[in-house]
Amino acid sequence: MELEIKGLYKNIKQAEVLKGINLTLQGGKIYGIQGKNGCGKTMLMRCIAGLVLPTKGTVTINGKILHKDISVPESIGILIENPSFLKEHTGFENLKMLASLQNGLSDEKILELLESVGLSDAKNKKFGKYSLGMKQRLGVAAAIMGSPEIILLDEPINAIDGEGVETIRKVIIGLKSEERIILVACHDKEEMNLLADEIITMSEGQIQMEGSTEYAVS
Amino acid sequence: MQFLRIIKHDLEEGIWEKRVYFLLPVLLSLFSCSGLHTQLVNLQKAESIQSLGTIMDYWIYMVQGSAPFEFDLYELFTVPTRWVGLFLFLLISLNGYLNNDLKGWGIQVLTHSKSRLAWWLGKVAWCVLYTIVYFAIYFFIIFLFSFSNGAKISLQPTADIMQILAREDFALYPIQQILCITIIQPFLLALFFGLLQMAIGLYIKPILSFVALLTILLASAYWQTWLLPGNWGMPNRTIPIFDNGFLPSVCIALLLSGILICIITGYFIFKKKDILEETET
Repeated sequence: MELEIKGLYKNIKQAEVLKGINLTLQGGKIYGIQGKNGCGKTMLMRCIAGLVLPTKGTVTINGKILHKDISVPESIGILIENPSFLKEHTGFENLKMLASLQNGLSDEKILELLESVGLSDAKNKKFGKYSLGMKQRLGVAAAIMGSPEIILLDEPINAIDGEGVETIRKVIIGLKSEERIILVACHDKEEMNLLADEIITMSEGQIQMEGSTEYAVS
Repeated sequence: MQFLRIIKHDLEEGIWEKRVYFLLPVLLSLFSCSGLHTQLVNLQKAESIQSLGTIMDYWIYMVQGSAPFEFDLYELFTVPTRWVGLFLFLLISLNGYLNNDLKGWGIQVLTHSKSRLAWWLGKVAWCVLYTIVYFAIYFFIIFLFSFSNGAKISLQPTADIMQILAREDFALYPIQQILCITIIQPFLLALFFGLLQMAIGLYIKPILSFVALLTILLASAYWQTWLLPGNWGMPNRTIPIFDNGFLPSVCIALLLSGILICIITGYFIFKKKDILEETET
């Protein structure tokens, strides 16, 4: 599994949001992205997810160029900003609907997934009644459902309490495999140190630093 | 398979979840039917007509539109409300769904669908099915209302009723020709407007695409010209109902071409569209 970003620029109206990003991500690692608000983390994730077209440059996934060979990555799970689901449906129903768009996932697997993110007690509660933390957990569950090859998590532990953070961390680390790239954006440097194998530091739309956790966090 | 799954999702979310909007065709058809029925009862009392008409009379009364308007200082332009309402309510019902499906939950759907083409075709299929259901509701309400109020179950318009409340020509030509003018053309026009609104909505805000379509609709009612597509689906401006009108075959060809162009152009716009939250744009 390899994801290669070459000379990626993205302009929104007159503003340069991403300025020449070059990055190669390998399967089997968890990458953390850090940087101040507005530094381009979310935009980079949107580019990788195929939601946004680069102004210049390419995103190549396993040799396939995004928006040329494929319009959306073939196997991806994303949690970008505030997770949004159908309010009038339960957490279980929301996941079931998303699963039905792919090859389908058995009810047992969906229940297991909900349990893994600590939502088994709230599986029959409507999404509209979920707390912020519960919404975030469901967002993580949707992103990892079906074990996609690329998982993009933007602030996955946002609004989640201490015990929940540990649960989510264990889930993310448990997903590490050679066939999978996991990219996590997180403001909490300590958490990032525990979670990521490599840290990418961004500033003003550019990559400032890329390296192992100890080096980057220090 | 992927495409079928997306269609299933769009049917569930886009039709079932938006079912409250189906009240609009119910209200418009009841408004149109009750208006016609009152007139028919009065005309029958005055012995101007012999019967309370047929289901087709009710349908034609609603979709006929208006004769071309000729500017006159002493005569005001009257909007053909039932004809405009038919398309206006459809546009209201369809507006916004596509764009809402590009935020939050919709992003999940898009990434799980794995293809922008499948996603777009799902929306096209949804628009087609929504329009079919929308028209079916009109038929159903008109059928129920007219039948329960003494109209005959027949697709043949009644000559004396048409002469007074529409144009006599509706009762003079073969039924197939009348069905084409009064059902197929308005349906294709509705579909064309729905898809056009969707395609334009990818470029500009949904509310603006709605305003643009509403402007086209009203301008079409005012001016009789090929350039305004509303004329392509207005029975009162079609040959043989109106001698100086448009040929149905040309109108249908234009509408089908328009539909195809909307589908293809919409896909190419969507293919290059950045999917961002409003705060990011």
